[in-house]
Amino acid sequence: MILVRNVRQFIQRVVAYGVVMLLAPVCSYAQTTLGSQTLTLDLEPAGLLYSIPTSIALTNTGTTFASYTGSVTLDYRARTTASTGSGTITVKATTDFTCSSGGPCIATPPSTGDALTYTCSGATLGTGCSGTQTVSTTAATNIVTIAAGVCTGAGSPCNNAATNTVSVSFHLTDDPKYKTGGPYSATLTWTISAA
Amino acid sequence: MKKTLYLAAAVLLLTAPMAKAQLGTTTGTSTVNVTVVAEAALSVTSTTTLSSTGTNFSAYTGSTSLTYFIRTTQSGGSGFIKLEVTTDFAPTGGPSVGTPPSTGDALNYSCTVANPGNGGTATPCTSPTTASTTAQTSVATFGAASSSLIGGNTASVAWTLTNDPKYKTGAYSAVVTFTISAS
Repeated sequence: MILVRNVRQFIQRVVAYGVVMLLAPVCSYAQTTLGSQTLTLDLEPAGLLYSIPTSIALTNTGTTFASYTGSVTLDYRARTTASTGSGTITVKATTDFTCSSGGPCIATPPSTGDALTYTCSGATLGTGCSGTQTVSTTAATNIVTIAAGVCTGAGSPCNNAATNTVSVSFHLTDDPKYKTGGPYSATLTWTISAA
Repeated sequence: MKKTLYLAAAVLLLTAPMAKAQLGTTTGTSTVNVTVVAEAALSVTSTTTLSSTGTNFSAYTGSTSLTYFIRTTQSGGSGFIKLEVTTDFAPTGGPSVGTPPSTGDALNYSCTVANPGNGGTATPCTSPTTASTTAQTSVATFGAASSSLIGGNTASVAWTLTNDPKYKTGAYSAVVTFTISAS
């Protein structure tokens, strides 16, 4: 009986040591050079808008039919293809004021000369629109034009600096024909593209 | 409790690298809002010359032209144009609105006003009206939902000043202030 117990203990110890020896090569890390790889990155042109203002209030001062005005600053990042690329930021009135209510109307202005217009200034990447532009409900109009081979950030290659900005100032004719009331609302859609 | 904390920390460490600092978009929208209220504006001929024809002390007459711009509230709105002699004739010795040299001397006027071109009504002053240095007097009144043309609509004031022989010869000037208002 004592002999059997001793044998069992012996076998158990042998198994235990054997397991340890089997596991040892797995737990310890052998170093073997398998080879080398070359990583490549295909950087595509891109453009993104950030912090788009949800609302723009147009107001005027006094009571003498001065134009309603309001301004916004757009944040954007862009990267265009070298030599052949380009980029744009545009705006379009995708929903007009409710023209039937007697207030302002972009598509069919109440009086000749009524218009929602804008000017651009201070574009930090690309060129802002020139002169006074008229917002349209049928076509996107230009805010910023971005040339080939440029990107957000300073230096070469460009770094991931803070966003670029452009200021857009809106003017709406204050036509006496507009009926009192409001707020009259229209929706502008901003779009950025880069190639 | 400790096990839960360790598990939470592990989850945070695993997910943190996947979070993005700032999300951009290729397109977005903004709502443009404007509230339209009652407004009024006025332009007036800067100088009006009163003259008399003949030599029989006929009254001095002249006309002042106005262009008005107005928008009154759709319901319950109104507006007016008024005038007041804010600086009486000077130098002394000639006509005077505040203290006429003779009883019956007066600077009177009549009014014409075109209706607002985009709706509403305009009512001219009753004629004749005597100008005053102490109070505004009416030129025109406007009703609710009155809207002028974007280029304005016209009004005029036709002046009549007594030609009192008591006036000493010379040139005399007064300042008339026109006021327009809309609600």
